[in-house]
Amino acid sequence: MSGLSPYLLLPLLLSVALLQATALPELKILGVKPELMLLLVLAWSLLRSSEEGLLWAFVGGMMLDLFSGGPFGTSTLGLLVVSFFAGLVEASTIRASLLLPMIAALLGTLLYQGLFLLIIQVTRGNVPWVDSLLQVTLPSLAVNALLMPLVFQIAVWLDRRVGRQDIRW
Amino acid sequence: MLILLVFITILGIVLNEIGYLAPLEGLILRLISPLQSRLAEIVETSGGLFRAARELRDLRQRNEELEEQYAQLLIENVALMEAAQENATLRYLLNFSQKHPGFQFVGGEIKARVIGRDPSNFLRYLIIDAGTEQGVEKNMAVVVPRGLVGRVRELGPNWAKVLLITDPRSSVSGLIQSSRAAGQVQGLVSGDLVMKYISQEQKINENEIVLTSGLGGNLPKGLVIGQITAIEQRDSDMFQQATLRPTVDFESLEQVLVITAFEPVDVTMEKQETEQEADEP
Repeated sequence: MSGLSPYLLLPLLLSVALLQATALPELKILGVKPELMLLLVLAWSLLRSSEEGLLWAFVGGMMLDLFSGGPFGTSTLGLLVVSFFAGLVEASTIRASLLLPMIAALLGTLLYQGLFLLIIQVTRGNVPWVDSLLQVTLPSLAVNALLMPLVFQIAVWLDRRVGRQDIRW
Repeated sequence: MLILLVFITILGIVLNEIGYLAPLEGLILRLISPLQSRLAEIVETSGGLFRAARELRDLRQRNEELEEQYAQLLIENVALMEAAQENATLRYLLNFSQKHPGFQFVGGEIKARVIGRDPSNFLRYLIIDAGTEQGVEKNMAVVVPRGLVGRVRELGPNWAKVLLITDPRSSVSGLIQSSRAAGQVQGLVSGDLVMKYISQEQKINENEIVLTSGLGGNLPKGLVIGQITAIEQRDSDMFQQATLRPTVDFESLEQVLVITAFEPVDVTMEKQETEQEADEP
């Protein structure tokens, strides 16, 4: 099981998904919604093992997909890939400076949104790539990178409070 | 583990695309939607808190008043121009009213509340709190008094996902009100709209209103889509195109109407009408 009890993990990720679908659209910055779930999964994957991060990515992605009109699994797949790569980074390195989580947010956003668009292109077609990258991805990079220190600090706090356990599959 | 989870996810994408996941998704959303509805209420009530940070109260109030006036005038203007256009057409078609009784909005609409939006920055969907139990069906038009919002794409017993007209994957048959030039209105990433495939022979101007043409039978004719803000016309191109500003403010939508019954456009009549207009000196 995850280090965080499923009784806490599910409501936590459901709340984040609900927040992203209900409240965050009201709070657009530079014309884009902050991607809270991506940042939280990224932060947790950086702090914990890749396996814990993958579990968060899977559950969180499924919840985002429930509220999305896009193909089911799009967010999940994007989060899984981002989480996998984030899990490869040594946790002690990432804690050294807040700049490192911000760089991780930049790369994670680029990878997540790139995969997202690719899946939309394959399943639904008609993706205006240039406009999407310039008008959505570019501002998202800035917004997510700036919000990452805050989300990372919350994840660090949660990490200290939650004991580490091995995940068995 | 990554391979296992990725495999499950890809399997999920495939199953969803062929429609096998819909009952499961419906069941989960049915359980969650009351919670989402409650949260939407809280967000709605505390919406001022978010907005107050961005806008000065007086400025906002003034802006709202002006927008309200603008919307009212726009609606009146559209109604008047439509009436004038209709009168002109009636001179040629005596039995127009019998064949075009208009939309049957009365008794054919469902009021619904917006309870969520797509969490992605690339997709533009709304989630509303009305579904099959209330009589909503796939592809039904969703409107507000200011104009067309979108079409129902997915639905469950008490929820529906509405694809907004501003989504780049949305396409609606449009008609420029004064010139009656037809085209295809598509969403842009910026949130504006573009009307493509307008004949080069048609003279179009900025600020003209674009309405639904009703062709295709999915949408009623005459719903306001937007206003032309720019025209792109090159002699070398086969068609000209226009950029539109939607009349609906999609960011502040709280209540919408789902149109369940309307009189579909009679395509043969439309053709006759256009031909007679073309013959007119």
